[in-house]
Amino acid sequence: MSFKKVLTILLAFAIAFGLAAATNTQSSYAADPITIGVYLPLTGSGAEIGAQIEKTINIALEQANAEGGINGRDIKIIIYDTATTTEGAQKAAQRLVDQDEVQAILGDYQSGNNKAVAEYVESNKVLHVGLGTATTWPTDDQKYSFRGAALASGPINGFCDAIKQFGCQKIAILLTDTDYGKDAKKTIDASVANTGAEVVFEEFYQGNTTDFVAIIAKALNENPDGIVIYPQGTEPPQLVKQIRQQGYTGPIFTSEVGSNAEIIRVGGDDANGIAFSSAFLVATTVEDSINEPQKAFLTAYFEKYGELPTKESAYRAYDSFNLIVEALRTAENPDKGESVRDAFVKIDDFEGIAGTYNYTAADGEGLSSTRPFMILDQKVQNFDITLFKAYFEK
Amino acid sequence: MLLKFIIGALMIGGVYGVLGMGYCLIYKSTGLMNLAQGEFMTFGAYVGVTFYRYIGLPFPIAIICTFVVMFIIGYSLQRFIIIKLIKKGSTFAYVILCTAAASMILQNGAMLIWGPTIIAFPQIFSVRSINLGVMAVAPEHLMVLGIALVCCVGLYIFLNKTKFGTAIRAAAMDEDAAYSVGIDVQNTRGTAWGLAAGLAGVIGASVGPIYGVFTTLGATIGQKAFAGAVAGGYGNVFGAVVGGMLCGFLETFVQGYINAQYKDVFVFAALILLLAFIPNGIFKEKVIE
Repeated sequence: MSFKKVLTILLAFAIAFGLAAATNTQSSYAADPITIGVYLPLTGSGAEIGAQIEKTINIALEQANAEGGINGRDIKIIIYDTATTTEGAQKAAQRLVDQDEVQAILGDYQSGNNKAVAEYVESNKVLHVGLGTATTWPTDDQKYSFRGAALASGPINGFCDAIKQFGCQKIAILLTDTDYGKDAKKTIDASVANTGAEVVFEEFYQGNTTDFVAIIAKALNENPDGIVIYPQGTEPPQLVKQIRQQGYTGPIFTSEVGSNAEIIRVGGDDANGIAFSSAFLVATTVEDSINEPQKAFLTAYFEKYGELPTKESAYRAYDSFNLIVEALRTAENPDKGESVRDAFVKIDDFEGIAGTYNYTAADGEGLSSTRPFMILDQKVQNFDITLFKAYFEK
Repeated sequence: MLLKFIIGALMIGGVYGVLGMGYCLIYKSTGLMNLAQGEFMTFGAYVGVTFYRYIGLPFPIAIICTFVVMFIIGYSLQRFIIIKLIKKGSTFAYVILCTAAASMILQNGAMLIWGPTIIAFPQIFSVRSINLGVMAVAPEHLMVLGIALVCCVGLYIFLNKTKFGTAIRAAAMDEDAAYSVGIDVQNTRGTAWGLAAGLAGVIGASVGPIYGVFTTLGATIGQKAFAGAVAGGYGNVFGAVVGGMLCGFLETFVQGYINAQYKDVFVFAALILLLAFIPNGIFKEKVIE
């Protein structure tokens, strides 16, 4: 065989091999899943909420993959436990970004953790959607972090409206000593002042407190005709029970924590007479769903787990996960952080359980509305001032 | 308001005292520190709510059954794990780490068995509050105080007026002498651990109606009970009660008259200050070398 012939055959093989390799690369690329990282408290005091968020994300993941994933690419999730600590959240975020190279991150409900992670993802240009409601994050210069929940001021203005309608004159305020509570104080003070009521008592208590006897006694000593509580984690039902155990029978006002089913489940009759405002209504049956997205979520959750979520944070997680999926689907390049972020700030009219999300202002916020509710007869109902007042007149 | 603070302080002080007695009982009988005491309380709360709410036993029977179950757990931990480690030559540091592992297992075990959701402990009494003339008090608070008192008195009677209790004290004083008079020292040690776990379980079940039942119930309470035990003189069972009461009063009155945010700071700062002046605690208990 001549040298020319050998060279021709070798060249043909090289071209064929190169084409095959290129095709394989394209196939591998197309098969590479999109990874969404998640940091959650799966142990520690936040484990109860974290467990429900994890279950919720699994539901949303199954639904998203059933709909074709991200333009044909499967979505997978990687979850790390924060142990309900900020340090844990930071380590989780570092692993997700540096080691796992995720395309987006879904955060937990603790604003302190969201704030710490927001600082990290900013320099690494990874989309981060957190569930915390405090105004401490994201800051104006942070372009990659977004809130998948209503800002704290929404529920606060909501329950202050209830205070005004009820006609309370003397308000006692009990706040948890965490980022969540500390951040809300200014807004609560201003909003309560707008109602015309006088704040006769206001104090922080240590986070994760179980014994509230002394602080409640102090508050009740001022004879308030309305009590505002701003608790977190496992505190809400304990605080409500202990307030009632000390003989207070008046109205209690609170934020979205009032929607958590534990308040009724653990508090029982003590939970009656609470007014709160929330973006979500935690339904106790699928039939109680207020819209189609909630119904679809709860139906799938019940089919898979045989129970319904009892935490409002689970609902936040569902909407937030779907928002991330929406951004990944519409991004020019879902593997590039800037592209995913650009797609996120184009989300304009996304229908979630909480209502319509719009992130085009690019200020990190996408949800402005909350709904007023009340608990009477151990059931969450739409707030009705006539019925609420009538309960206390009995 | 002062009366409310006093009742609240007595209640939480009683809880710290009972847990602290368990710490001291274990230390006195085996020379070991048990880092799972808070989790004995948590697990006991879960066991208590299971007997009362899910099985439907009357509350006093549920409390007794809780004591029995937790006694078995504490006794088994000592007889089947702690003893084995010591026989294999583990130093006390490693044995204490083993109790830390036991605390993780109990906490996460509770989560696996009963789930991570807070469990409602049904109301024990038909009345929401008792009118004492000058104020209203939840009957559950008085119940916890009563149960803590019964635990203290019961333990005193057991240790001082019964043969086996005397044997426990004898074995704690001098192991060799106890062996020589025919006392089953290992059994007394197991019993001490069982008693510590049983008492913690009982107090956990009794605070369930006030706080609910959740996996971190005993975490901070256990730490403060330990502080109380140290303040009273670590190893002095009744010093632990005094120390626990001290912690309870300090915490409650700081919440009431200074600021609720700093109650733990004050409690632990007071402990450090106390030890700076009385290194062996209020009852000057000598540490086992």
